[in-house]
Amino acid sequence: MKQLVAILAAVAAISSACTSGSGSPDEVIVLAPSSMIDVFSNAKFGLIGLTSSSTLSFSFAGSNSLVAQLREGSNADMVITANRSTMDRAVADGSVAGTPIVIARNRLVLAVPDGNPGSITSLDDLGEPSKLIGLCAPEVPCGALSTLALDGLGVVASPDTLEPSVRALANKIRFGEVDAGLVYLTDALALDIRVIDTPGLNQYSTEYLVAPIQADPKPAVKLWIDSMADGGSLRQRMIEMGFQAP
Amino acid sequence: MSQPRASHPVSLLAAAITAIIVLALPLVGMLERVPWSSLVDRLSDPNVTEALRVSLTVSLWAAAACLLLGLPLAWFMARVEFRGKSVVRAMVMLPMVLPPVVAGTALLFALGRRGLIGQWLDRWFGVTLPFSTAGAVIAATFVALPFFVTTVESGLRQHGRLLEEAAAASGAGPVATFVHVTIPSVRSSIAAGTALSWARALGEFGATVTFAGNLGGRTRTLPLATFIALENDPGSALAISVLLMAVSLIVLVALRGKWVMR
Repeated sequence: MKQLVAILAAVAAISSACTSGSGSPDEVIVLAPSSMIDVFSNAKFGLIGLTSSSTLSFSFAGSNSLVAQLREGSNADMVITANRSTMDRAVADGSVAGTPIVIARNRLVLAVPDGNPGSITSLDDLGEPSKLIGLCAPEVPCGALSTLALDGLGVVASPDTLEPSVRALANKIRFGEVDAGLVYLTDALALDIRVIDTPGLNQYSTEYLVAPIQADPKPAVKLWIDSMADGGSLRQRMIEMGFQAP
Repeated sequence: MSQPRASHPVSLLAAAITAIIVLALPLVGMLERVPWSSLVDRLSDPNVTEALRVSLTVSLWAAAACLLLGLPLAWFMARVEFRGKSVVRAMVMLPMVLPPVVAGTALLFALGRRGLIGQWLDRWFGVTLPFSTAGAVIAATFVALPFFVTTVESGLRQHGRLLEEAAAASGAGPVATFVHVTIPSVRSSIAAGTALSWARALGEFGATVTFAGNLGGRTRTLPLATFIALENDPGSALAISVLLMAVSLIVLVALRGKWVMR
């Protein structure tokens, strides 16, 4: 029986260690959308105005998943979403504090593999049954924006796959598995994918919003959000990567 | 409280119970959130029934492929000795540890339109496997095959060798021995291996979405439908998961009861 108690105590100790998360005032946990991986993965944090004593941890996922994580109780300090409707949901859930701020925009482009094997010239080719076409699933932000854009431009697409994330789609374009697809400009630039100029598409973009999670955020979080909102060097870096200023 | 028998050490029992809790707790957590009142409505949604149809088609074909390819391979691994066998065995097991998304990417590099073999399939026969139901079957077979092979191989190691020798001694040819002696002697392993590989194929997600993509009626299986539904309709995602669990529980319990626990 003693052993049983010891085992249960060990299990309890492990599980309590798992729930106590970030207590350090210098650690900032950021929930960010997958499409921002490249912005933050190699960022020089001094550039954002943070002191070196602060630790930044990023957790990347689709915006819907981020909002769900917050709803189920996450120990993050701030969240960035890749469109307004997901952030609206976080606000409605009461998961974030304060008014979300738009920090950047990202627009859709028509992307094709090297050598353009499907001879894609315009958005109308997306409706061509003989071409292999990939789009983002309408449930994720890039797919919602694609649906909006194609409807607005009167294009009826015949997709062969509806990818669960924009990066998954961008990779399938890069590997030449589909002839064309709609991805964000940032993904096309990051993976060096060829973009076909389609003027009509330029007006369709998604907003990236940031919000703190606690009502009384850590100083580092305030610093971060301010630096993203007033557009300093972080904004410059984002624009280099294909984002647009809000 | 009865005295624990010497053959049941308390510490072992406690550890076993902990293991059961580790396995069961997430399921209980999930069942608690399932929208039971709207379950039937959600499951009769055309998107769900379509995904169920694709899932059954893909997983059954994959199980058949595992049986067809895995039986000779299991026999080979159990009966034929050769140098480098440990390397081959490791390769057979690899899909079990490979992250399924990587498996899917590897399949793309091999069988995709620009893949090692895929480019010739495309050029010579006009066959494109990605984004087709056949592609989903290949992805599921790739991840499920090791489960069949390891199960049947260990069965073959335990049974049949003496009978095989007797059959050979009384003049039966090698093929006749395999069909009439070897296979019947490991019936229960074959059933167990088929059930395991089918269950693995039914739950397959990563390799499928990476290699075969996601399109309703063609490659969107129940796990893919669950993942997409999780994005903005968690209730439906949970409902589909319950369906998936129920289907596999029924089949696994039935198979285990019938063939494995003889």
